[in-house]
Amino acid sequence: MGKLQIMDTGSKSQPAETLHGGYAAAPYSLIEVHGQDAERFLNSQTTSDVKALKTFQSQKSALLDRKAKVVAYFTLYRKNKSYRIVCQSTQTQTILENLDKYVFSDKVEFLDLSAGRMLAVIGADARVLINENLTAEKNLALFDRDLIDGELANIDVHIFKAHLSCSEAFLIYCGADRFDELQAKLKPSLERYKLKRMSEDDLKVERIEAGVAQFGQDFDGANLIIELGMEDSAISYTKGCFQGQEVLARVKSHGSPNKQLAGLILEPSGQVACGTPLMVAGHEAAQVLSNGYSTKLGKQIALALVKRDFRTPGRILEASAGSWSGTATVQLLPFIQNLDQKQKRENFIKVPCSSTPPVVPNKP
Amino acid sequence: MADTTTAPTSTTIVGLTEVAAAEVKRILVDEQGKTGLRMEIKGGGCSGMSYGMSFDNAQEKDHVVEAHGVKLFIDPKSAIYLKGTVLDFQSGLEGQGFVIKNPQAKSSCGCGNSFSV
Repeated sequence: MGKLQIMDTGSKSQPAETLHGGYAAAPYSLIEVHGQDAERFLNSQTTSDVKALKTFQSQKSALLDRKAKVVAYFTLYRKNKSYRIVCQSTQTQTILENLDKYVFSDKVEFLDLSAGRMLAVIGADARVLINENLTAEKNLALFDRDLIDGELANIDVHIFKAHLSCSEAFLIYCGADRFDELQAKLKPSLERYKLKRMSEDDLKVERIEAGVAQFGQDFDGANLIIELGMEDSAISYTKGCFQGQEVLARVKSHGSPNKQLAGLILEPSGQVACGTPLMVAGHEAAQVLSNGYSTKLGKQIALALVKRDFRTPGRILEASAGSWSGTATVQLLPFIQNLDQKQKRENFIKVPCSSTPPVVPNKP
Repeated sequence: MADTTTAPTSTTIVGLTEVAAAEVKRILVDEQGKTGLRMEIKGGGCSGMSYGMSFDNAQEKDHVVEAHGVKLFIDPKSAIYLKGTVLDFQSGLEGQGFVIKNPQAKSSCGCGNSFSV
């Protein structure tokens, strides 16, 4: 199986070879966007450069209000001339209402597919597992795409690469009536690749390790998107106007926001309630967000909105947060770096899984 | 030159000045197969809504406004946000162009390309 590159956090981490991954029903939802003006419309409403998005690829994106506060955050996928929005289930109606509010003369339609279910499959072997269960086309080149439509174990699915973990992760969408059947049919493969069923807490730790903040838990409509470390992935400063763009440009020209998403390693380990201020010598240095114990790192890790004066990677803060007190070490996110695609691809070809899955030849 | 404005009424929705009409007619000559000017509202811009203008033909359900020999086409949804608007054409030392005066626009962005109501 593939290996994870674990950043040196000063702890004795678990060997990467023992990491497998898992699967879980994931609280994500799907919206399809159709119509001859879909590209222009989405480009005008979202923070990302939709016109630059290539078919079968994805980009992080968001809807903002005029003050650049986050209304919704999601991943946008393109399939030819239509688009798909994969978002947290709790954001579906907000996204639909906000997009629909600005449809005037544009020819664009939204299809709410939130009645379906999403299965998250996470781990270095996830693509191997999915590939061998594809009913028709089995081809490694498919995984160069962020979006695959097809049949998995004879069930119609949409497969989305998703940023849920420091390992490669996929969200598999299917109709709710076939969701249990899909899991049952995938079960032999899931067991063979040692992917365990993940709990909500497991999923939370996976995304903390990957530095992924979640709307409604780590941030909300009071946050600027630029505070959330999404500047490189979700914002285009060159594509033209969108709501909130003037404020973003102003903040960018001033350097950096007062507070910004970063990682904290908390020692000793202890759960801190999300939103608790981290106090250093009587001053609020940060706000602790999602946190949990990472078995990969052997540490309690937290996402945090850290104020500018304390935002130095490696800085050790003598701090307290609620009933917890100890040292908080400031970290750049993600806590764990993923392998690049090329390396993953090489592993896929050359390194067989210890449980030796059937080899699926590439199409010539 | 003296200008007269065809002010919008409850039935015309959008008005345009004689100068604007003359400019539309001048450009329309080169637009083969098009019979008038479409004014529309699109989502987008820093303030959420922006104007669109293009040469077109009347579509089903369009409001059609005729003034100074020019036809304006407005779709029903855009008509809600364009009601009371006057289309003008201004020229001066800093340049020339069409100017949209929309009494419903409560705020606009820095570059002036978009507005909110």
